[in-house]
Amino acid sequence: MASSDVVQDFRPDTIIRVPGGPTLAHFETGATEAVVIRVSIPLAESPDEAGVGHFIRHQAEARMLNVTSRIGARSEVHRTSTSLVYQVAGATQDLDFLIWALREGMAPPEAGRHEAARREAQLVLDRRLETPEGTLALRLRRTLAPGEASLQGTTGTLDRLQAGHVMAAWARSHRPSEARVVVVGRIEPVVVLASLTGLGLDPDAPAPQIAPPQDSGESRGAPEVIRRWVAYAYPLDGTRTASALVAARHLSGLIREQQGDYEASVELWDFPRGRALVFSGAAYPRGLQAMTARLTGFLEEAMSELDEDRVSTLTGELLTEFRMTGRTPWGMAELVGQAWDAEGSPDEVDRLMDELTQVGAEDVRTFLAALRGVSPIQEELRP
Amino acid sequence: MSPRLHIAVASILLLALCGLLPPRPATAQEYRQVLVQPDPGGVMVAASLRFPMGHEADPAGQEGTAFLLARLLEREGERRLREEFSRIHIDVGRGEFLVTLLAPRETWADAFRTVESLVQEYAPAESELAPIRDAHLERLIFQAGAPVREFEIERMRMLLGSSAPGARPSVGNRGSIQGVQAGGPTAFRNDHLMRSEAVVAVVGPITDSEVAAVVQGPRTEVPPPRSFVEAPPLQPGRSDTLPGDPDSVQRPNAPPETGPRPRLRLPSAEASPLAIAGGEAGPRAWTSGERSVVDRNLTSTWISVAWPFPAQSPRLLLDFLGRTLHEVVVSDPPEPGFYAAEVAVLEVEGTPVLVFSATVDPRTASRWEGRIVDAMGAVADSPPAGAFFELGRRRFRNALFLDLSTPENRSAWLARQYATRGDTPDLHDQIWRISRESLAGAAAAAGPPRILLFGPAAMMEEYGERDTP
Repeated sequence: MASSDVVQDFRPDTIIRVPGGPTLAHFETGATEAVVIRVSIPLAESPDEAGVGHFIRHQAEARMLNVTSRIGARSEVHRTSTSLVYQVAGATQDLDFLIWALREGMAPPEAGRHEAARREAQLVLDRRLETPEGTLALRLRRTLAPGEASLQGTTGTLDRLQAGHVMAAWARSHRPSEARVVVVGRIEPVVVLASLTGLGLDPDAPAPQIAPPQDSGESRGAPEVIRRWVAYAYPLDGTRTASALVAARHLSGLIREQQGDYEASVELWDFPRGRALVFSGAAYPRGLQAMTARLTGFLEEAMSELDEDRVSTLTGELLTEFRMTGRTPWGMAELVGQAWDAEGSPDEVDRLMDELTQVGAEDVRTFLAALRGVSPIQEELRP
Repeated sequence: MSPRLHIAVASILLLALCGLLPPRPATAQEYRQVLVQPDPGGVMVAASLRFPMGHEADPAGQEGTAFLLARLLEREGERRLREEFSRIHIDVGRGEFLVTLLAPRETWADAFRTVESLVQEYAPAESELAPIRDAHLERLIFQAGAPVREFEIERMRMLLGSSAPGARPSVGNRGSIQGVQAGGPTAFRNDHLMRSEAVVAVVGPITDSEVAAVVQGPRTEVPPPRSFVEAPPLQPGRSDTLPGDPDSVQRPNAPPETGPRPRLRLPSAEASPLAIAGGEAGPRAWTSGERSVVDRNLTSTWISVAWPFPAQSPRLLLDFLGRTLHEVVVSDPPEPGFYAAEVAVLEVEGTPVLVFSATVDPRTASRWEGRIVDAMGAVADSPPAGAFFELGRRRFRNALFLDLSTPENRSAWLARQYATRGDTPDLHDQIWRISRESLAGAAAAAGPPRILLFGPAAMMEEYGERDTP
């Protein structure tokens, strides 16, 4: 696909910024009379209250589902590395119901549901810590971003967070001026904006001041490890770039094309104040040497296997992947909203797609060469 | 030009403008009809080609031929479409062969031509068929003895008659699949995938003229969905801030009711309710009911209850009736002894049949059978009222609109609707026209049901008698 052929797909039709209120990006599209509204609220957690976002999410999701299940609409709440995201999807004729669901979701947390949220959060964390890859990822993340809260919480914080802490986190974050709204559908954006009036907390109300609990650092259980697990993380600076995306896809492709007597993977990680390119693998003793050699020499291998044809194929695949996700109204809202939350612009996906059409083998090689000069952060788990 | 000729030309022009001219028959190189629904903001183009022949046209003894052809076309299509970053998917029904393409707007024209030539010209070699046939045989061996597969065959026999071609399994069986050679799928393609019989629907960021340059045949533009919520007075264009005083639009501290209130556009008061016409609504698939039990030593019982409806019954109304029946029969959370249920509206001899199928504990089969059969009468006598009806209709609408939100589902739906009804319904309008009374009328129009029970007969009988007061 030639770069000149590509049309701008992900640029909002309308952007409305209301002083003291939310910012709204509207995409007028859709094959049916359905609308999706995605509201994101930035939420930063301190290490002592790690996991507090999960408590808000859990309660909000149950309340929203209580409304949307009555009319067969969809709703969900999820936590990203930067924000809490509230999303509803349904018929435009049911806009009142959809807004009602959002109001329910974004209302203050209730103490009555606190223990159920705690149990769910603990279960998710315990399941993660039971697996070698989960434990390795959490350790690596701690080393990569020291002082940053783990959004899944820790055993210590999840045990000690009280309803007052959750209320304080909600109150300091859920303000109209902080909200970013993505609307996808054939509907006048001002209609949605008008309906959202009053969503969130009074901007002048002070957030309650409650000292966060101390992380006791206690940990339950440990994974059963029968292979050697290793991970190398290369911290990345600046915004998300097309070169990084192409490089990650190229590296993943190399692993698929040439598999060894070990398991390996490549991931791009986003966390609140940065991102990283992570290689990881697991091997029994017989494959350990081959795996270590592969992962430590992976950047050189990637550079030697790179040419314009390959980059052209990879960028085409990435562009198609963006579009496959964005072909549904909820996919479009999530794609645009996530990039907006991460980079601060509702045009971010469009910018990235534009960059993808121009990236060449030399750009990707330069990106990989710069990483080669960095010492990766390493973590491992032994049997 | 004589005055009479003037009048004739003017009449033709007038008819053409009104869209009243009879459709021009398609030539061999043209599709029967091409539907175009532009969505300027969309990011992918979906095109569905619906051929009106499915697995019921499989040659006797070679059941599964259409299924294998679909898998061959998908595999070859995936290979040929790689450079266009496009995808192909094929559904084979009893009476349809539906090919759907999903492509970026920059490459959709090339991708469509690739699919066109694939469907019209691809003749697989035996070496290409063999791996697909072997993989399918492995699946059939794995599924052999699965009671749900046997139940599905028995259900189709109940609906269509045991000797009807459509009652044969769409995926074939081990014997029939082993007998399919490369010439079989090619012959099916040559005989049944006729361009002049196919309806094509294209949805996405394309224009009517762009489609006209690629897809040959008489075209109809289907307007994109309208916005059904009226805006308050302000109309912003693309701008960084609202024009005028922002506070007049958004006061963050104001209670919800103080903002400009959107209003819903409703169909006009003259619009008649969507209903089944009395007396003249056409024939039904059958006029007398029956009940059969297929005895199998299983730990579950499959129940199927099928009601015939008059040929002219509005399909959307029957879909809503099916959904209402499901909500009447199946409680939330489910009761003990109940495992799963599904409702579908199928075509039998050109008439609609509503089929309710459930999987239950054999000891409760008799009770569930009674509940399902009685549910139709209950809806006819006392349909959900007030808020219960309104919420049920909203659930129906949301399920439909969300399902049709993806371009590929929309294009497939448009092609099917046009092929089977001759037009594409305005869903917004039709759903609003479903009333409590028309729902009751639809339930009352149900003919005598055919009932199938598939499970351990002795156990069902023993516990059925205990349940009887």
